[in-house]
Amino acid sequence: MIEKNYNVHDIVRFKVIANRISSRMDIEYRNFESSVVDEPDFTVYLGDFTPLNEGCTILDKTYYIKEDYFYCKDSYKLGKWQIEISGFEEKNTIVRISTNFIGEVFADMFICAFIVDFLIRFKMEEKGYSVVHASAVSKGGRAYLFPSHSGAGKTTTALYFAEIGYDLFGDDFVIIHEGNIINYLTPLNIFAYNLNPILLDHMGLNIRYLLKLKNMIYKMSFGYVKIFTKVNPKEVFPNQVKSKSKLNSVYLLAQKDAFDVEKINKVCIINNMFINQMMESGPFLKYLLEYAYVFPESCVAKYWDKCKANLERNLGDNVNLYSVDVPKIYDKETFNKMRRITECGI
Amino acid sequence: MWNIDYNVHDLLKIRIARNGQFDLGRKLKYISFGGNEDLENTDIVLNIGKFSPTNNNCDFISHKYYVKENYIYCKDKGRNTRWEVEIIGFEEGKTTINFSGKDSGLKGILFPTFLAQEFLIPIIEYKLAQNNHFLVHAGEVSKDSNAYVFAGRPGAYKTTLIMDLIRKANFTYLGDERIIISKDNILSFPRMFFFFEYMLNNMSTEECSFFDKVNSLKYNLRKRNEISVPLVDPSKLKALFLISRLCGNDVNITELPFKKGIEKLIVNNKAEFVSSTPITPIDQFYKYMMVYSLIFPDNKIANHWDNLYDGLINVLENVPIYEIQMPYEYDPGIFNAILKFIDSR
Repeated sequence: MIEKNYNVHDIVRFKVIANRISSRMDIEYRNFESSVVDEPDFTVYLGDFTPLNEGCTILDKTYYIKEDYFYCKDSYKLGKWQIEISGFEEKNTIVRISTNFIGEVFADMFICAFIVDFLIRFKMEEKGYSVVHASAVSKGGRAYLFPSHSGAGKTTTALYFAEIGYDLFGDDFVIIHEGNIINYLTPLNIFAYNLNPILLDHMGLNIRYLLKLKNMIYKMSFGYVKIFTKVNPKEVFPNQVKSKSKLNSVYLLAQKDAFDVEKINKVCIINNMFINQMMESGPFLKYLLEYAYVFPESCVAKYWDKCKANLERNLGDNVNLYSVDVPKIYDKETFNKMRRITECGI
Repeated sequence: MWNIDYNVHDLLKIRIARNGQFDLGRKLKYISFGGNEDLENTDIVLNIGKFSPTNNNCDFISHKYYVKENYIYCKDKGRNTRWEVEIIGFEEGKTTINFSGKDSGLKGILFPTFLAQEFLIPIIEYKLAQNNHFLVHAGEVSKDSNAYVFAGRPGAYKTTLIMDLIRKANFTYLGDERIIISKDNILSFPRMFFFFEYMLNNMSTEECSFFDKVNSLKYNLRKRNEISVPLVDPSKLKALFLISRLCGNDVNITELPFKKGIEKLIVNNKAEFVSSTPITPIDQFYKYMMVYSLIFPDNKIANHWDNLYDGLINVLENVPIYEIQMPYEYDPGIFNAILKFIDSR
């Protein structure tokens, strides 16, 4: 058996135990790898298992639920998985995942994106940390946060800033705690639409050809098969990674026809970031609801209330808040405007 | 091209229109709400077929959704199906839904408008809630003007229990999937009535074999032009039951704390519009609500669930809520235990 240990800034620790761990999963959490972790917050066992469904309430003929326990079979496109969560509300949660061949090969998509990513965030939120769908950079001890829904320019903004020497904290998710940004460096998910010129400079020919091939497969399958290319930001910007910085300003990005910026109030920005968090919770949006049906007063049922309260507290009161409209084509000119407002104000 | 108008208890008027003729089940879903007359001032219009979206000046979200005030548009896909939907008047006013897409396989060929008609449900729920009438995912029967509601997640044997209460204890059918709860009464919301009628007359439980599906299809097609299904007058709600199936052998019936019962009802409704991975348009509706709320965070749609919670607290005041936990396999003993409990109330 292979045992991999991961430690996310001494806040959340977890183990993955399996006969084989796919390379795509290995890449996903490489920046959190640790030689040993004591008292993991959750342990993931990959491989076949027999679920302990005795005494469960069965919902929709699919979801098996009892106190602290959840089990279901699920699928997406060609990938299939079974998941069993024991100790759902306990300190050490045990998660067993079994997938079909596709699920195993594309473990980053099925096991990581659909299950483990959420569990990390779930445990973070339990401990009072917010994990927000945003990119973040910093310079001179001041961090700038760029929350947005997918496709509004989080990654592009962060990469442009990194190119001019800013420290990078994450391009998709970052951690916020008591007015500070903490990095959450998972691989950049690169596809044709977010292939930034900065990344192209750091890519070998073989990766460029692979990118083209993946885009071709995507088009030929009418959007059914979408394979991202993983790029570790630590390898692209090895000297520009900091673990923590004081949050100075938040720029809520939205895609519009032209560039514009205006101040925004805290209630608006929290509502937006909160909904964004829910939208990014994958199948767990459903899993939590089904659990909440059986145990409406449990911690799991109140998870989203906790997230919102965490966000209100962690964002702090002395942060500048703006909403920024960015055009569909986010080029250097757009970035220069972005840079001007972060460095000189609006 | 055809139009059918429905009147939901004088609370909502709905028009369904389609470019195209062939559809064996154009009236099947909502036949209980009329379908013969031309109504004026419809609240919801569902246009089925190809359309050109008016999605200019929109926020573009997650590579998929177009949102502007009172408007959402997207092309979406689920398991074995794709659709394109535009909702004009999403938040308030008259709602026009332009929908293109159908089920895959034989169902899509025989009933090309079913997928679009199903998409009406969350819109109806939202619209009714704006006027203090609450569409709840539950079945309902009545006897002596007393109504009993059975809510629960799909597969909880709601329909089977309702069939047995009608067959064996002379209860009257009001709905087996959704009902409307108002301040003073309960209103029926029967859908696919003929399918229920077939099950009632031919099947012991709701578990469908392949032959049941074929026979019920034949039954539905034979009945599809008969539209005189009476809706039962408003009834007074006597008790509400939340049903669950367990991996166990006993039937347990316990009274729930009132607010806990309401929370379960809300989750039960919410979970209908969410799926773990996209399957059909209806189970993406919660996502559409969230996407709209990203741009308009303080809108009526974002407040729908709070509105539903407050509304149900108000209208169900003094109604006892019970939880029925029943074994995984349904048998007559379960029915007898539940009937005994109802009679004892």
